[in-house]
Amino acid sequence: MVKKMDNFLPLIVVFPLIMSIIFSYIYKSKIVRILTFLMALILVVLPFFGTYGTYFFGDHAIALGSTSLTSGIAYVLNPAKNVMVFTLMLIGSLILISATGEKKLNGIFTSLMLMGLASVSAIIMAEDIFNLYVFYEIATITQAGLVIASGTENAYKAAFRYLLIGTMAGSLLLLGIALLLSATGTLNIEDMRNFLANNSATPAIYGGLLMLIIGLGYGGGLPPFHTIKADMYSRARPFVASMLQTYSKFVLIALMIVILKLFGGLPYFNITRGVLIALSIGGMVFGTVMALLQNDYKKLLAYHTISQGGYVAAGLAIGTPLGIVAGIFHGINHAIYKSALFLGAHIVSKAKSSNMAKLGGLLPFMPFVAFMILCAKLATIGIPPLNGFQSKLLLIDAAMKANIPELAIIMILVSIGTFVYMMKAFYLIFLKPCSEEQIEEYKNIKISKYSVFSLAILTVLCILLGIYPDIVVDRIYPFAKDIGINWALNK
Amino acid sequence: MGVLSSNREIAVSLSFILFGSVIFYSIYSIDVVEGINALYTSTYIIPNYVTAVLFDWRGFDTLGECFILINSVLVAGMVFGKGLFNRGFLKELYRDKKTCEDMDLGFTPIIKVLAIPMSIVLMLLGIVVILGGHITPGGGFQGGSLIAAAYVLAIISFGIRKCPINFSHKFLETLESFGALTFLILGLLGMAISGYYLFNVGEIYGMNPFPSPLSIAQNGSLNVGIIPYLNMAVGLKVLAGLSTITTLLISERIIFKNIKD
Repeated sequence: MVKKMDNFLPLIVVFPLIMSIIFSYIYKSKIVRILTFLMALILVVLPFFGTYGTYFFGDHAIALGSTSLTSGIAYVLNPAKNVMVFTLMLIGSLILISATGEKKLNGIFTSLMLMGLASVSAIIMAEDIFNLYVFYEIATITQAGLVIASGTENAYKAAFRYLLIGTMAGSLLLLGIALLLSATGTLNIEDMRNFLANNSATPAIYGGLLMLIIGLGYGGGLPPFHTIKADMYSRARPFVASMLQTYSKFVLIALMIVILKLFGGLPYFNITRGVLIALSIGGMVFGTVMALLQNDYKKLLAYHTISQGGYVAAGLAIGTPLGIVAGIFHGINHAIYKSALFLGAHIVSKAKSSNMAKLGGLLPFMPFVAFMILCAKLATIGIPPLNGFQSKLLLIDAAMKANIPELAIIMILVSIGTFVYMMKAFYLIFLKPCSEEQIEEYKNIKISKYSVFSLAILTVLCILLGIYPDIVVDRIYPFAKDIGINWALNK
Repeated sequence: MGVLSSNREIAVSLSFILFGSVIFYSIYSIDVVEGINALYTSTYIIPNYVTAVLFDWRGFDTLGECFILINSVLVAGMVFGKGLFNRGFLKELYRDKKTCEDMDLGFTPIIKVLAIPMSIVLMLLGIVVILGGHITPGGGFQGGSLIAAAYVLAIISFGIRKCPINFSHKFLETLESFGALTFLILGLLGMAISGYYLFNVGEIYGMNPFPSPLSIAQNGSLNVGIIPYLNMAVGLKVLAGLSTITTLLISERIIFKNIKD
C-alpha cells in the first residue's frame, strides 16, 4: 500500500527539530558555523514544502461511524498561515546569518533557535489545541534558554523569573484545555467550534476561556505579564531579542486566532472582546509610557515591543474581518521592522554601550546603517510609504468601522508617543555631538557584514510592504473572512 | 512599608480566593462529554489503550512532549555554562573556588550496600516496562524515569565520583540524541510508506516490523506496528535526559570544565 508522498507539511516542523538535535550534539565542532549558514538558507524555502489544506498526522482523519470528529492531530495550512510561517522563517534565517558573524557562535544557540522556529510554526499551523499547548511549552523554554545564552547575571535572573511565571501560566493554560476537552469531548479546534456553536455554555467552558486568555497574555506579552517579557528582551543580546519578539508576536496572533475561532460569534464573546481590548490598550499605553522613561536603548526597544504587541492584539480583538487582517498584517510588519531595530541596536552596541547618554555622533561612522535604522523607526511610527503606515491605517480603519473610535484615538496618541521616543533615541545615538575620545573609540568599531546584510534585507521588506501591502493583505483576507464576526450597531 | 506590604498581602489573598473559586467552580461543574474518547476506547490497536492514544492516535503530541524534555535538558546545561556567549558571570561566581566540590551525603554502609542491588533491580524493571509498554501498563516515559531514578539512587548514596554505576556525560548526551533522532526518523518512515507523518507502519514489504509471540494476541490481531520502537526511543531519551539533569545538579565539575574552555 505504498502511497505517493505529496504533502511535505510536517517537514516544516520536523526538519528544524532533526537539525536541532544534530546541532546540540556537535555543538563544539568547527563546522557549526558553516552548517548554521546552510541551515539559514534552507529555512527560507522550508515554508513552501506544504500544500494548502488539512493534514492529518498518522492518517487519523475524520472518524467514520457514529461520531464525525477528527480522531488524530490535524494541521491546517492556508495562504494566511503560509505568509506567517514564511515571515517567521525568513527572520529566523536572517538572525542565524547575522549570528554567523558572532565570535562565540556555538551549536547550542543554533539548536535552540531552530527549536523555537519549529515550535512557533507548529503553533501557527496547529488545528489541535493540545498540540498547540505542547509546542507553546517548547517555545517558552526555548526563549528562556536564548536569554540565558547571553550569560550575564541579569539575563539569568530574567530567564528564571520568566520560567517561574511560565510554570504557572503554562499549567493554567493546560487546565483550560483540559476543561474545554471535558466540556466538548474533542481537542480539534474545528470540531470544538462546531460543538460550542450548537450547545449552551457551561461554567467549564467559561473557565477554559479564562485560562486561554491567561495563556495568551503570557505567550504574547500582554498585561499583566508585560514586565517580565520586557525584562527578557532587554537582557538578551539584541539580535537574540529580535528573535524572541518575533516568537511572541506569532504566538500572540496564533492564540488570538484560536480564541476567535472557538468563541467568536457566540453571545458571551462580547464580554471577552471587551476584556481583550482592555488588555491590549493596557499593553499599548504601559509600553509607551515606560519606553518614554528609558535611558537605555535596549530597554526602550523592549517596552516599544510591548506597546506594539498591544496594537496587534487590539486589531485581532476587534474581531471583524478587517480587524483581523489589520492585526495579522501589523504583527507581520512589526516582526520585520522590530527585528531590524534590534539588529540595529546590535550593531550600535559594538560601540561598547547601550546607554544613550554615553553614545552620540555615530552617524559619520555608519551612515548606511543609520539610514536603515531610520527607515525602521519611521515604519514603527507609521509614516508612509513604509509598512507600519499601511497596517496602522488598516487598524484605525477597523476600529472606526467597528464603531470604537476611542480605540482609534488611543492608537494615534500612542503613535505620537512612539514618534517622540524613537526620534529621541535616534538623535541621542547618531546626531548628538560627541567628544574627541569617543571619536577615537568609534574608529575601532568593526561592523559585522552579516548583520548589515540582514538589516538591509529587512529594510527592503519594510519599503516593499509599504508600497505593495496587497502581497500580504490579499492572502490574509479570505482567512479573516472565514473566522471574523460582523458586528452591527443595533446588536 | 508595613502598610504597603500588608495591602499587598490583602490584594494577593483576595485575588487568590477569587481566582481559586473560579477554578473550583468550573471544575466542580464539569459535565464530561464523551466525544472522541468513544472512538479511542472502542478501537483496538494494541492491548494497552493508553499507549495506543499516546503513540498511535496522538503520536505527534508525544514527540512534542519529548522535545519539552530535550529542551529543558539543553537549557539546564546552559545554566551550568554550556554554550554561553559570555561566561563572565559564572567565572565571577567561581573565582575563589579552587576545587570543585562533589556532593557526598555520607550515608552509612547499610544504605550503600542496599542501594546497588536495589538500583539494578529498578533498572531491570525499567527495561521491562519500556519493552512491554504496548501490552502491559507502562511505556517509554515510565520506564525511562524508573531507570533514571535507579541511577539517581546510586549517585545519591555513593556520591558521583565513587559511584559504581557511572554514565559519562558524553554517553548520556549520545543516548539522548540517538533516542530523539530515532523517534523523528521513525516518523519519517511512516511518511515514506503512507504519506503521513508518524503513521503506525503495520508492514514493511510484507514483514511485520515487531513480531510478537502468538500467546499474547488479542482479538486475533498481532500487529503492533512501530509502537515498541517508539517506546524504546522515548525510553532512551527520558532516561538520558533525567540522568543528565541529575549529574548537572549534583556536581560542580561541569561548571569548572565549562569555565576553563
